Amino acid sequence: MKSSMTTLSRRALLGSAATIGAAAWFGSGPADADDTPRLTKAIPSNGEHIPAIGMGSWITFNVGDDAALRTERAAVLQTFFDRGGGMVDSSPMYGSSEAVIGYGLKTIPDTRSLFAASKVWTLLQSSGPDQMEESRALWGIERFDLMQIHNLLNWDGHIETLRADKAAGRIRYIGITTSHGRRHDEFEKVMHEPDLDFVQFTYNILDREAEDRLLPLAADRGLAVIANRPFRQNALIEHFAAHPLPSWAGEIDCANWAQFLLKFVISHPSVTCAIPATTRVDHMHENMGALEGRLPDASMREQMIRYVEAL
Amino acid sequence: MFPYDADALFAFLAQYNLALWPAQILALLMALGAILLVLRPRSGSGHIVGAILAASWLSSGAVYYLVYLSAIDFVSPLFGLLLIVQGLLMAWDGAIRGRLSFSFHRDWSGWAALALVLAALMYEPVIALLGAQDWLAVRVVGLAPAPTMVFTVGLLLLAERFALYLLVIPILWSISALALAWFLGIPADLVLPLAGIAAGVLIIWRRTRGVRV
Repeated sequence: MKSSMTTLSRRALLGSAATIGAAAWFGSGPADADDTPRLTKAIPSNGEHIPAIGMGSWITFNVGDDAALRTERAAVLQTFFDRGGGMVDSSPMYGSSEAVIGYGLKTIPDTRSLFAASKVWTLLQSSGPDQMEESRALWGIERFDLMQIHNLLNWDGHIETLRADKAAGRIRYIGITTSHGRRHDEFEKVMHEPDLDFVQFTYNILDREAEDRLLPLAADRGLAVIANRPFRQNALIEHFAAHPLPSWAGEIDCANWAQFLLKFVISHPSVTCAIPATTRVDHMHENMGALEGRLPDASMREQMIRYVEAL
Repeated sequence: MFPYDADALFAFLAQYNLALWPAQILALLMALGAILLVLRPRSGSGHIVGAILAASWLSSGAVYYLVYLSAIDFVSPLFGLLLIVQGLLMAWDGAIRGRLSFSFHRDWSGWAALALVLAALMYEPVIALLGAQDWLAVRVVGLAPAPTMVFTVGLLLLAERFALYLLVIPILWSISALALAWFLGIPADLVLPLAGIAAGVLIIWRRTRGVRV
């Protein structure tokens, strides 16, 4: 755990300013029926804007064939889109999550804002295409926006496949993932590969190791960053729930701990999108509230860190 | 790190039981038969009990883990293979070579063994009766690993002789089950693995000191 924020590079700060300026801190993001402006961020490789809060599916959408639980998750997904969500992230490793996402997508009338992100997770390069085809079928989509190499498993083999898929239009972006701060050295090495668009790793208000090297490198390489485990799989929410939000949380339009923690993550200039996961509609509403209102600046981020580390 | 939560687990168990019905009746009859053969041994009892235990482990490994749970748990094939190995060991040592023999003594270890065997059959139904678990999600000995493990260790506590390696996989499985119960926040699921580990350690401790258990 770091005691203070790493100094941000000039390029990262410029990127942040450009992102926020052009991207609708208060304006140009997608809006739902109430016309509330949503915060979006730009994918560095082509400038496309996506909502800064996405949705993860690890554990939360792995409910098998149970009809009642599938219906509950479909309602969570519906809320995600109702509140301006875009990126949905999953993996073949997540059991039935992809099938449950596909079930939910079929029940939702308007999924035009979907930014579909999954992963290839298999030891053999030769079985990657079949696995990705199965994922497309489970989601019920024709192509993924983003295909990532899960935990760098056989990354040098799969990246060849993904390059060919991108060239053929079967995917739009290529990414790599890790979590829990594992294998950062190798991850950093792979981040130098050409043709990468996205990187995904763990970043939250207490797990800030990524600020040392991965986030600055992503900015330097022009890579979009997906922050996973923004709540440390709910541990942060559970830990902080007994404590009040600071009185100044209103200055950044935070009404609950979920928004406080998410706004910290997405206010990092190099972070493109955070992907909290939940099983509950009310929690999804809380999460998506982080797409609205003001974000903390650098000094406010320092203040947020000091506050939670004192709890 | 486990890829599902408690709700998903119980939903899975309910669907699993529905899919296998009425195999539960056969499994319970086999378990009751094994108990009778241990309490009233006769020629060939060890072979038959070994075969019943082997079938229970093979079923839990192949059907529970490999066929069903693998839909939501990417680690389950590994557990499935481990339990199949245990089933094959039971088949080889017990059913084929006849290296299992049992006798019930009215001493504390005999009653403890009987308590374990009954717990394997009755623990989850009682939990369901108390309203703390859905009846549909009750795990049945011979078809699910937790009651199968406790049933096996309980019977081995009554065994006159058996190879200690038959305890290795049950104890390893129990440790992983403790981790799962803790991670999923299901305190009731801690009981059977803890009982199995305690009994397994007791058997090993007694055996290494040359004392009959």
